Amino acid sequence: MSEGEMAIIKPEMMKSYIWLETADGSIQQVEQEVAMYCPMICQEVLQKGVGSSKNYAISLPQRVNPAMLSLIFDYCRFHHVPGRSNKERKIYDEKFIRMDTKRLCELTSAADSLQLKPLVDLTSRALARIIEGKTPEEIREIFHLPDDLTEEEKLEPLKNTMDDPRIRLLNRLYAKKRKELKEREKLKSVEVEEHVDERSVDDLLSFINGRDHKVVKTSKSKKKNKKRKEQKNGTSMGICETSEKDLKHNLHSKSRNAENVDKTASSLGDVSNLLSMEDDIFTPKTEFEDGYIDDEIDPALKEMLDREVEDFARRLNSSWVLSIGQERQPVHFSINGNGATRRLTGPAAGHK
Amino acid sequence: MDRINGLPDEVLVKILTFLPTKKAVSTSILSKRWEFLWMWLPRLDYFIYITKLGTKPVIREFIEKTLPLHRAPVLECLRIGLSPTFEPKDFIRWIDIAVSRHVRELEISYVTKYGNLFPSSFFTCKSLVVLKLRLLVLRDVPSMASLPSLKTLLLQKVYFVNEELLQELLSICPVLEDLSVECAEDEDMDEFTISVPSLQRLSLSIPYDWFLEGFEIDTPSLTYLKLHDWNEWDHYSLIKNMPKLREAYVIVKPFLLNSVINSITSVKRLTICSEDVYCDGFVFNQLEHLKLCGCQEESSNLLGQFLKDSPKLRVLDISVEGFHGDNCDGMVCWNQPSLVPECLLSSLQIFNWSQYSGRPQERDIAVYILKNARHLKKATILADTDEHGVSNLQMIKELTLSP
Repeated sequence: MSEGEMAIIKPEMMKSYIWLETADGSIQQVEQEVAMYCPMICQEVLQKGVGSSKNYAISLPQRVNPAMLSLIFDYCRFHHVPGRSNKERKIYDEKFIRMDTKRLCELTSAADSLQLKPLVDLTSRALARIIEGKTPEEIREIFHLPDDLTEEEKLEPLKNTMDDPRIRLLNRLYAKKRKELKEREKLKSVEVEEHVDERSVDDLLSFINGRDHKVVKTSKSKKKNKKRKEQKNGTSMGICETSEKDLKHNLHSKSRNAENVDKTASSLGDVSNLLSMEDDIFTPKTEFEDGYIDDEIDPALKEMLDREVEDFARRLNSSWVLSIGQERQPVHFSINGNGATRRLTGPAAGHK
Repeated sequence: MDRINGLPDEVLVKILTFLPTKKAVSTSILSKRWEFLWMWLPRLDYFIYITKLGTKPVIREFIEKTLPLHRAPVLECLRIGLSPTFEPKDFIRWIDIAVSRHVRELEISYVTKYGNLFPSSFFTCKSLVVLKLRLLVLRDVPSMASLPSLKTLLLQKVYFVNEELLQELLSICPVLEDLSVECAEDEDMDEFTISVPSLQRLSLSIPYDWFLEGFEIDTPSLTYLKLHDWNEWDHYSLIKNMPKLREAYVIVKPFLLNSVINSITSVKRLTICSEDVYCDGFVFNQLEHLKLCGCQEESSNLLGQFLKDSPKLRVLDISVEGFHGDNCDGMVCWNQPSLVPECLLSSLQIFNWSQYSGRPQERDIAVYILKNARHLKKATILADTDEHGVSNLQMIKELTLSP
């Protein structure tokens, strides 16, 4: 029979067929309703009008070989029938999927190129099941994966995300944000420290005026230890020596200033320098207390010292806002025996 | 292509979606091709990780490091459940990232009563459809907040800093359909309101020891109500009209019973556990399926009342709810109705009794129903032989012997 005659006879037959050509050149024909279950084939037939005869066979993607094609059509032949129950389909699928890993991969590839999503889902699930119970070595072996990551990459799997420039930028932005947040936290804790210092000075003075030295010493040392611990932890919670309101108010205003600092900081390095400086500022203060107690200073001096402390705190904040970005020397705050204060400041301090 | 590496990226990622997150992440060490594939996963499930006290919270650092770099442009689902060993501010970052990736489902479990977990971006998330929160604290709802797509909300033992917050949260969800609130045990609210015009399903569970004044439910579109209120303090319940209610599951104390019954007379299906009988005057015109908990002495009277008030009852289930455990006396005082209930005569078709004990009173009830239900098609009586030591066979004999 010539092909022309075949073409004439076909419409009279109950079944119509679609012609398909795989990459290796071999041509198959499949019942139309079965083939049309594959979106890719469906598209070719409807949009380009091909597949109706041997001469106009649909060229299938390279990833589809004749063996896989036949498997896929078995699948389609079962599933395109609308009357089947879900249970039936499930049972069929479970049986269908039983094949060796190599064929499973081939089938997944072929189904994917034909855009047959339900089959891709089915095979993917099966492959996932294979992966699930296995160690990495086993998985590599089953799937012939090259073990091409360095030991370092395996331990720190995300180092190489730097390859992508977007990822790099994202990383940098993120690191910056993280630093900012950290600094803000540090600031809060440092500021709280400072406030505690002021308070404990008051307390200490009241002790001096009305209580035993010994009592003073132990309570002071307790407070010192507590402060030291808090400095280490860097947390701003749990400090209950001051009244809550005062603390919050202070923190609020200071954190606002701190935010300004962050915003105007040209480089984060400067800010962190300032912070470490803050720590230095406040450790000498504990020594200051020591000296203070031992010297038994009178109330008038106490007031002056209190004012100094507050003043200093205020100025520190405002100076940050004004002079951020400039080089700053560490500022030391110390007191000599007779109570006069003396400051060693750097060139750009802007104090007094 | 017969190798798995021959498959395109989308297919490999699809395979990873069928794996638990932990396993999918571990594929990053398989080979170069697989190193970052998991970062395209649309669903991330870090649920639940309990970090032992004193040990380093590795999972926190992992999420911290990888979440910002996650490559999937849309994060469909993020589930994080962590033990409370780190600061809440981590969550602010993570939730912010999820919101920026158009998250649809967000599930957070984290025990904290302090700190704020939610960035401001969370309260204006347009993509969020499902939200599940457990054990955490809700401090406030910002004024311009809106969750326009939220349909399902689960609040399990969430601590509300003030009582109005619950309703404030609900009022920013214009299309909310499914709400489940399990109130936190030791965080009392005096009064609260649940008013959601769009709500279709509501499940509310109130702890027994709250000093509760009362609550109000205003959900005109509701079709399903589960109310588990075993609170011992005499409180009020203001349940506004629910004309569309079809199914209810009610466990309430006697002082609430009448007001609750009043609101649920239109249901088709009802499951109820109550220590007392409700008063006369209610009719369940559409009740077809009744499941009664036979745990109390009074349950038999409750049964009688229901039979009387439900002319169209088709299915009757008598059982004992699981949460009662073993402390049930079972129905003891059965007062045989003077008039045979309408439903027995005309509509009851299926009768089930699980945990039947064979005691004389229960036998009387069973016999009465079996005898009078003219249209009964199927009766299943499962005996609790371990408990009462009466053999199955003997009980069946007794039942069949009675006239």
